[in-house]
Amino acid sequence: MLQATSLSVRLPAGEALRGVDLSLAPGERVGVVGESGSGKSMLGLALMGMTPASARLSGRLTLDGRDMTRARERDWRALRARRIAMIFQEPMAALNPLRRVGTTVMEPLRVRLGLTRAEAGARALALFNEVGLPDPADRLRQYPHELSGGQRQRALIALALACDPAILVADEPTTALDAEVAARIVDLLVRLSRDRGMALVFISHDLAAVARATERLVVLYGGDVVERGEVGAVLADPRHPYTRGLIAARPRPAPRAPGAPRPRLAAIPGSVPPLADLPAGCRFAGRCPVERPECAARRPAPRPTPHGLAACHLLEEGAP
Amino acid sequence: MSRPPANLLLGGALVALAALAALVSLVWTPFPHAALDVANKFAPPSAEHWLGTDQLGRDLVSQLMVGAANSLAVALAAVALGGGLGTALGLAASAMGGWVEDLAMRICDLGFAFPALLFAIMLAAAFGPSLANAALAIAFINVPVFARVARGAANQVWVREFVLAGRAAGRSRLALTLDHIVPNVAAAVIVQATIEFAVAILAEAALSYLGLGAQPPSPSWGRMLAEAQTLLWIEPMLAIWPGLAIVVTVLGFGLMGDGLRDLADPRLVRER
Repeated sequence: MLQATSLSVRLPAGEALRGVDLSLAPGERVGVVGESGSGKSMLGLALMGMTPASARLSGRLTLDGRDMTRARERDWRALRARRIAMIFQEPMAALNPLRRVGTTVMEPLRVRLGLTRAEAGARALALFNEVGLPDPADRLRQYPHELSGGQRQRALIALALACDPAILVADEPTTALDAEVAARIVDLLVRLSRDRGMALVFISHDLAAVARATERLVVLYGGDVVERGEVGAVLADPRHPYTRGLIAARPRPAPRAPGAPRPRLAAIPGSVPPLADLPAGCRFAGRCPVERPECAARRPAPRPTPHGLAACHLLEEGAP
Repeated sequence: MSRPPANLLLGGALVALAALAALVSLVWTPFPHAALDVANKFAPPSAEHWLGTDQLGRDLVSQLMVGAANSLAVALAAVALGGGLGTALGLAASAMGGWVEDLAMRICDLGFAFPALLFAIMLAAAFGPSLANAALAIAFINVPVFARVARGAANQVWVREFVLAGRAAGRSRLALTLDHIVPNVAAAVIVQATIEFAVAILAEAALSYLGLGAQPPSPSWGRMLAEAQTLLWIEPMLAIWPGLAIVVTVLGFGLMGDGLRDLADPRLVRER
């Protein structure tokens, strides 16, 4: 349904995505993880045809078999909302503070589907019900500031679902929410994906949320896919040093004796370099704990692992 | 935000004074503003002529009131026209992006590179001197100002997530502009309009002073100044009153603009 083949996005500052492969079947749920600056959001925008005007795409991106790599805004607009929709990180920022929530949600219904005001209102009410907003009729008339963070995200999900998209791209949908609300939003997305047979691209740096939400996992670093595979297996047995670092950096509350020192949270040293400073070879070179001399210069090819693929020179030589 | 800022109140009061004079002049003035009474020239202030009469015996209050109507009408027309066109241009440039935006902004830079008043004088001279042409000329120099303000404010809104969400929902750039951009740039544009009002009043006075605006016998503050100039040593009050009217009105719009900006963005309120 959606197929990205060796998709690259070049910004004036550097290459934000380098040869990303991603395929999505109907109803499939894929997680995309990585640090800030790893290209997660750029991937989400690229799938929507919403990369910045200065970005140049290469490789191939097809949607329903149509090549969208060089598609114009007009062609993309015909697909957005109806075939592929997106929700965003900041539920506050993603709703216009000056408009009623209902007006925002009814808009695509009226404009894209040509419904009358009454039909769109009924449909919006049904959508608000489906995403689990309490008192949906009242919510429709409220302004964004009158809703809580979780309610706003639900309203945005309703907006994204308005035209029955086949694919939903969720760009860090739970990052701005507290843990309890986040878990419920994740469950909502999974339920909607199952009920509607809708594919889900779940972008997050929260490994727990991704494990809960998705079936397959794609690990991005510096615009490269460094590892991919079945989500549970990759998290249980990561093969790429970056994936291992990410998993080790996850906070895990462990029982400890009163007064005992707090265990230090593991961290990957340094941070993702600016696009212009990314190494030409393996993007992780410079921060990798098991780096070899050739890593920074030569790009590793993806190698099969027991549960997918990983791109690391150590794997090429059959090292553990 | 319980009370509007003091500068907004004071500015509003001064503007209201000028607006009131202008409105009343449409239905009533103490004397017909152009009525000559040469026997009564240079009359001092009196119960009959509140501020006295000029070198031709015309009532000064009546002239100031009609002058207010002319000045404000020109300023209003100029700001509405120039602001409307400029804002539309800025919004369009911001929505289109890319080379269209660059081109539009470079053209605006060209407009800025010209001394504004000189440009207005040139236009007024080319179209022929009249109040309407003065308004057109002032509107013209307002276009790049508003285009830049609107485009700058709009560019800040375009990157906000609710606009991305709108695009993701398949909305066109025109629809996004109308629904999301316009309400969020309105504050900036209104503040700019208030400030440009003051500039337009000054520009109209200058053009009329140079004989390129109001034509006799239609009075305007600038033309009254021009006529009083030769009599400055004989009857200085003839120049002082229209000068004062200009200062008060411009000050009023300036204060109002500052106050509105403070209301629109509380972070900008200066420490007192």
